[in-house]
Amino acid sequence: MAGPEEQDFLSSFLAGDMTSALDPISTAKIEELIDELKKEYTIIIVTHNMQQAARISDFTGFFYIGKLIEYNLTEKLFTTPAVNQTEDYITGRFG
Amino acid sequence: MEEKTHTSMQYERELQDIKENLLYEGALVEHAIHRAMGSLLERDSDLARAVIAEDEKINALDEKIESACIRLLALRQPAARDLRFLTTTIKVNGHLERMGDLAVNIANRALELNEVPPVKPYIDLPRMADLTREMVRESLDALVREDRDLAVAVREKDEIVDNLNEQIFRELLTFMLEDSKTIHRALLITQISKSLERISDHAEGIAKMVIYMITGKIVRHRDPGEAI
Repeated sequence: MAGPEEQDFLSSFLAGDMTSALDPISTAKIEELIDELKKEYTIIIVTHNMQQAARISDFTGFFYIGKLIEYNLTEKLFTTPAVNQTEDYITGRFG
Repeated sequence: MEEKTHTSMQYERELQDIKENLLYEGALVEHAIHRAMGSLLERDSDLARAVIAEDEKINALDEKIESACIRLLALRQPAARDLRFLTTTIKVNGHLERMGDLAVNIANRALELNEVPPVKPYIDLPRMADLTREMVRESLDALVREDRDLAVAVREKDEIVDNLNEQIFRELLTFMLEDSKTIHRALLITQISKSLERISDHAEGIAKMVIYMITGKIVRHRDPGEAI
């Protein structure tokens, strides 16, 4: 996940928000493709969509205003995040 | 209408794994109840000890299933039938784990009763145990087949088990009043009867969750006969 400044830089090198304009069916098919490809490739995705990050990634990094706040197994990050700031963000406690 | 699968095969597999593990846990519980009663009726204390030791498998599955459900809730944001299935599974899992503990209680009482002469031949207890196991099996069948009518039928059987429990208690009370030397043994038997009655309550609890899973309606505090 990334803030707007980080996303513009990273999308030049990595896949960034590639399904944001797609309908749910097309999105699901792209995600299924990623699921297949990740057996042979390392894929890094930059997204604002936390639910998408949770669905398709094995590891998730949470960036906030240029800083990496937490990097963890996706399951761990979304069930018991180690950093309070991560938990605040993913639970919608933006302050 | 043919049932559709999720586009994500991984998600589909994870849901299927949870269902299979839940059914396996149900089979272990049914088996534990059968063997616990066998240890009493056949006065087989080795069998009772085996039941107690094997409860670990049920406990391990309980943890595995709950973790898997929480994982999917966090990562997949399930909706509609998937959400109802996962929340149902968490509750059913809890019921099954408690049933396993109650089978252990029966085995522990059997260990004590096997050391002393029986108070009387066991007639109603085996009937109660058979009916209880039937309820466990049918409640899980109802879940797998999404069979609302079967779930309702399971709920109605709970009253029969409750009546048997009361009947056993009344009969044993007579024994205790006539001969105080039977009190300890009779109380152990009432504990077994109570454990079976509690297992039946848990099977009814599963049936109620199955009805919720199918209809979306919470019927936990409604009588079995009430319209859904």
